[in-house]
Amino acid sequence: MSTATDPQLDSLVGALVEANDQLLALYELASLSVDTLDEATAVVQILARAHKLLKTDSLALLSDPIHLVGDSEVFGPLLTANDAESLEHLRISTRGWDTVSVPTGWTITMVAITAGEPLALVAARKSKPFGTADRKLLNAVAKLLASVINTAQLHTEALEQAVIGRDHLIASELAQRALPESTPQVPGVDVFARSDPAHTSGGDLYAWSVVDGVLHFVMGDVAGKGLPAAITMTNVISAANASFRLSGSDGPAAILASMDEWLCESLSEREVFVTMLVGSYDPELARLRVANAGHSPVLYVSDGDVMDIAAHHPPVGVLPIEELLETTLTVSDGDVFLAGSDGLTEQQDASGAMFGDDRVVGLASAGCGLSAVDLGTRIFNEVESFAKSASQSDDRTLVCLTFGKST
Amino acid sequence: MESTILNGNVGGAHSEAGEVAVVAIDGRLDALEAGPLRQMLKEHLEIGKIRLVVDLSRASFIDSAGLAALVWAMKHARSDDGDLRLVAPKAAEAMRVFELTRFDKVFEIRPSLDETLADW
Amino acid sequence: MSVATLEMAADFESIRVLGEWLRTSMRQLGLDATDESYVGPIELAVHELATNSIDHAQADKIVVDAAVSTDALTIKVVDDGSLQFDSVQLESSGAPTDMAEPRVRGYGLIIVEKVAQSIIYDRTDDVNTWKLEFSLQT
Repeated sequence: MSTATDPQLDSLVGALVEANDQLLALYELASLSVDTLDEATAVVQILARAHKLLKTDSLALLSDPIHLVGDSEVFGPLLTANDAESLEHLRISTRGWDTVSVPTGWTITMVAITAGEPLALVAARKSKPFGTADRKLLNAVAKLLASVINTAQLHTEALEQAVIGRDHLIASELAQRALPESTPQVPGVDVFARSDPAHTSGGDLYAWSVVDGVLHFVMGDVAGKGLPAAITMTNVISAANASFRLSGSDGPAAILASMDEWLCESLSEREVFVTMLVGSYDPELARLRVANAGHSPVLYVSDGDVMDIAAHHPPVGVLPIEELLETTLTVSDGDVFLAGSDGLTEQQDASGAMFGDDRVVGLASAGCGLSAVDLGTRIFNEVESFAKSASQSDDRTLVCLTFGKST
Repeated sequence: MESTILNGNVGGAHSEAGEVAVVAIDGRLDALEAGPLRQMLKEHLEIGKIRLVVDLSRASFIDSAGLAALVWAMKHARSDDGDLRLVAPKAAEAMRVFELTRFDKVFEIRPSLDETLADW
Repeated sequence: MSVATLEMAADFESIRVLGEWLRTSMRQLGLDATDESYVGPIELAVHELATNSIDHAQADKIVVDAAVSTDALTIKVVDDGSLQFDSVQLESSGAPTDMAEPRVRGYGLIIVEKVAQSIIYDRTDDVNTWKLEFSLQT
């Protein structure tokens, strides 16, 4: 065999060596076990490894923040510009990548990465231009980076979901805790109140206060679900407790107006409204006054007759309450007052039929003589068995007052 | 050099759920202190103390090493049906590590020890 | 472009001087070092890199530089560790498949990512150089 160099053989060997190098390079890149690392570390490790393998002078991932390995001077202007500008500057093609010759003798090549937002991998090398094998390797690096970034995003989303889910749970728990625990002791009236929230939402509320011997109560339904509804719900209860004291002596419509004033800013900010029912029972006068702001069903049963107390005002948070309107009722023994949330009447069964107002009316009129607890519990049980396999769609809340000298 | 983990002062406290072990940090919770803290919390978990509170109200600096120790203990406590809760650091700088990693949403963090024990 | 430099031994105790030095340097460089919401995260990010140098690079010495230009505050962390960043195989958290599970390790660089505008790493002449660029205070 001749010892003189054979240019053809040389170039063949050269090509084989290069191909082999590239193979080894790909193998080394793939052997980086990045899936168990945190994403930031993985990105830098991939870039550092690729930088060595490709013998680049500089390798950068144009993301937020910019990750760069090697000589940062070559990308000077890129580092201070934001991503859109830098991509523009290097005329990136969205289909693949572009090789741009830079006057200083450098070659810069870019690979577009789609990982949520468009990113770019930019490589700069002074020694020699990027060949086909180099580009293949760069593409592989870009794909690896994209998968790491995507995983990171999935991880973040999952964490956020878990956090939001937890927030809902916390908010709901806080909200439930805001509801009064014990029923008020006022002569001549027996009070039942219960709220069964649907999953983790919490928008239904009730609260009461006895001020100067008069029982004031509020029942409400915050539109919406989850965290914002639960926060609003606790705000409403605070507003109610304050308003009972401030405006209680002027009656439920005044209480309503006071709450509306108290809440209007925060409600309109959140674009939330609350249907509300405020009542004041004076045992000395045997008088029940009720102001209804969009709530339903609100029923008064006397002697088997059921009266539906329609809304006097729109829900709170829609418009300021100007006219103070309310209904005054003289209470007799055996009368019943009921205020429920639409989670009761709108509960569907498996076929899609709703429980409806009529059923509640029926139960109310048939419930004469029952204690508040018994009547209330019966209504809940009826809704529950009506629903059967269908899931609970909304918060189920009921406030029930039964009147009588015996209570 | 004195440790910032209050030596031997593993307080006992009571919540509705039962006994709670309290460890307080006074100063820096960085790589130097993270190991001993993790060890202390590990020992508690091993003897069944699954309700832990780390009181960070007097922590001046917390880095990812400190965070890692807390996360480790929290994960193990929760998997044992307990929890690790935190009393918030008074220094805003010390909260930074939780905010940047979003762990302020994952941990139960309350402004005072009383509030931390309150609804447990 | 003015520069401030700090040399530290690569151990956890010695790098505790970073915070103090950073605030002094920032003052010298004409920045408002009393703005904790600006300084705090930067201190944390630089501290994380220094910690990494100790943890992973097997360094003996760490040198930190701070410089201010028209558009950025640049902080350089150089360590003489024999291990380069990509040669280090970090421990896994042991639960990589559970997406919602918080990872137990590796929050250091994540913190740096959230704070810095660019993260530059270079390995030349047997030293690891990290350069972080932060936007200037508004």
